[in-house]
Amino acid sequence: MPETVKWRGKWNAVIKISGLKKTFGDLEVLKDINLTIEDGDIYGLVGRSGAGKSTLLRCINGLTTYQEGSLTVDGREVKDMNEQQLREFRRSMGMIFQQFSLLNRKTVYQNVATPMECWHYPKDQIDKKVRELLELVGLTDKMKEKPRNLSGGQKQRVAIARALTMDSKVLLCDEATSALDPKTTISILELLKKINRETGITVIIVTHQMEVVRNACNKISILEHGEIAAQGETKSVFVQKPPALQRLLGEGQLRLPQTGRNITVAHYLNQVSQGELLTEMAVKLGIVFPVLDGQILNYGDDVFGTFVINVTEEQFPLVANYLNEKKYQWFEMEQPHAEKEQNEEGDDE
Amino acid sequence: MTLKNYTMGQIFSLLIGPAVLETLQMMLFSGILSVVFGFVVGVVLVVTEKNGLWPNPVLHRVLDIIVNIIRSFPFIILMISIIPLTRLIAGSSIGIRAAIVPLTVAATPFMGRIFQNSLQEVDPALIEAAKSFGASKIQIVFKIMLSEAVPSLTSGLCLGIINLLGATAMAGTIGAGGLGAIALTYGYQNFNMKIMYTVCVILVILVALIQYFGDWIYKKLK
Repeated sequence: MPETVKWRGKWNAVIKISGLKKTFGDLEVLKDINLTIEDGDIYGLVGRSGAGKSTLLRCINGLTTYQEGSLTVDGREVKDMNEQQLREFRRSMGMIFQQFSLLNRKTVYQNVATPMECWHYPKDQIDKKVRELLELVGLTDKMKEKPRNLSGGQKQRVAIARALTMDSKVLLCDEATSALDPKTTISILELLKKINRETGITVIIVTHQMEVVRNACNKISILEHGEIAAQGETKSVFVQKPPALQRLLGEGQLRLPQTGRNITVAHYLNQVSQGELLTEMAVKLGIVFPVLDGQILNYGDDVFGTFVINVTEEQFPLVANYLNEKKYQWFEMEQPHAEKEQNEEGDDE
Repeated sequence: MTLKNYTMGQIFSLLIGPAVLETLQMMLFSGILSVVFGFVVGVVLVVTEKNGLWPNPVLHRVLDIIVNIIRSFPFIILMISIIPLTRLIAGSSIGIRAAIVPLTVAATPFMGRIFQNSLQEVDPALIEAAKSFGASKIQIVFKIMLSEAVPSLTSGLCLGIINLLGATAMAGTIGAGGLGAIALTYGYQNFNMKIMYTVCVILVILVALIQYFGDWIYKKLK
């Protein structure tokens, strides 16, 4: 059966989702999801609890099914796989969970070995792989411990090692850092990034923690009530701050003046500091303008600054010209009246 | 026949000693059989559940009802009512071999529920994790669920075995022999309080030993 053998050889971890719909009875959990995850991405699916992000993640490895639309991995429709094909398929996709999901009665070593045992790998091969992975996640000295003697971060490292045993091409992370403290979260994210760099594994991160996506993901989709409310490269989504992101960050929507035009400018802080950029522009153009908002954000290893200014119609071409010349990233904000005030606090299911 | 001519030592070696052995035999055989059958019942109940590995509501319901029916019989009534079955299987309705049949029939649903409860307690997230690395359903039952449930299973089964001990004593009233028969015929019906309370003390010791052993295993396995 060449179909089932497929996932053992070389394949592209390209995940294409189009028009995907899922319902539980009358409840529409996912409505018309469209997104593409490329091989090697660290892709973030963010949203509040109940937004459908974990369900979407489970659609990817067939732990749950969907009613309409298509979800293909390297061109193969997940919905159409039979039981045996699904098992083979999942073998090449690791998954980690919020509560780690380790076998409490088994040692760290046995936990990591379990998937390979289920697939009847020879003992020496299992031993070699388990030791290699425990080395990678830095837990060689904890090999004989039981999970209850480990900290949360260590447990998640064991789970990561377990998820990688069969040379997975995709790692699915379901709120994998939500039960961890901020420092441990960062160390787990660093580990995920390192594995992504070294093995090229595609990582899909489901989380409600904004700092996680900002730190680790190169692309994100924001889910709201089973729909994608915003999507794109992490940097540009954070710079453009669509309403969905603002709601997620829990910041009040910026009150933009109704007159003039509102511009967001983004730049790397290692290029120029925010203060310098503003004063320089004001001095060079000989204009004054109110600064409405300013922020410094970390995306992965980049430090990024954004600010929002309000300029008059007459100043706009000047400023636009100047920013283009300097090659700063900028865009005009939508007028506030175009954006209906949406208050969706508390109606999550 | 009077017991007055016998010393306590003789009573022990002639009556109580063999009776202890008989009781232990009944417990051992019906214990093993009911754990084996109970395992099957428990696993089937768990996997055929609505969200189980092989959802099968009809089978689940039928088995559930059978278990409830058998469990609602008082043991002594059950034992009498299945005498024809006992004869069929054991060839007789009295003696230890015969007693093992109703004891097993009565204990199996109980053990089944113990397996069911322990297996249900296994975190569904663990089962999902096992699915996520492509474990087969059989592997999930044996390598994940049973393995994780072992500590709670030991304490549950220990409870079941102690229950069984009580049932063997009851079986003694209708010809099964064992400690129950001694306490009843030589103690209660003969107004020999010494024998009756001696048997009680032995039963207390047996229960304590089983419980102690069960707790010890539980701690070892946890």
